[in-house]
Amino acid sequence: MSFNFFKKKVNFWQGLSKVVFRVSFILFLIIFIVEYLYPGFATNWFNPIWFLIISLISVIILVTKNYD
Amino acid sequence: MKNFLLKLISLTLILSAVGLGLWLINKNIPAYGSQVILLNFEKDQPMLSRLGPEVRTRVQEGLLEILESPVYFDLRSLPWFDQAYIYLIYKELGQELEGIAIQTAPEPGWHYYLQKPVVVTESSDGFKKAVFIFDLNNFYHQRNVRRFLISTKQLEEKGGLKIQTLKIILNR
Repeated sequence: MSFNFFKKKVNFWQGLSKVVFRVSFILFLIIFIVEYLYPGFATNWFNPIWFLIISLISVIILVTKNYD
Repeated sequence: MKNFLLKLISLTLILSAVGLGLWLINKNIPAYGSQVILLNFEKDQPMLSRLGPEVRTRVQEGLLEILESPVYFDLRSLPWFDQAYIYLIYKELGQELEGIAIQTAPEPGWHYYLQKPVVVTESSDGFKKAVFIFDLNNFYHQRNVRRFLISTKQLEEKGGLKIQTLKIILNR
């Protein structure tokens, strides 16, 4: 019973990291393309590299195996 | 329950991403057709750099003093902004303002086109306000970055030109 509980908990975090990865990485790609076409469109206002960092962190969580 | 929570989080993230996109479009393509940028004497901004080189300027009591001419600044503007109105509020203390120039060709070489102010007004406290108009599309830029310089003429040996405000209004 407790095993299932933990398994579910891990799945939730992995599911969350999947969602965060998809959104942040696609957003980073779109901003990258727009920024290439119109330099300053996004970087005049904020640094989009944070989306890449967030997506990298979430993909690390996603691919890390659960050894429990 | 957890699946519902995941769906809710993903929906929130997607809506935030769409909101961010709309915010960016609104910021870069303003409905009123112009964008205002104010010079920060202390630090570079993504759209507007500080005046440099640093050895030629000095910040004193909230004013920036030009010690030696010329001083440069970079402006990064998007291609749909055709015109830049540069408002300069300054006080001449031994140096006279000649004009603002825009870079016309890439380096090496010194290629600048000097423009005189369109209008100069003087206030009672001794500060002058000069307005310059530049057609941005006619000049050289590298990835939307255009370089300008402020040129002054030395009248006294140890004089300067104090800048109170440098404001740029970009128009579509």
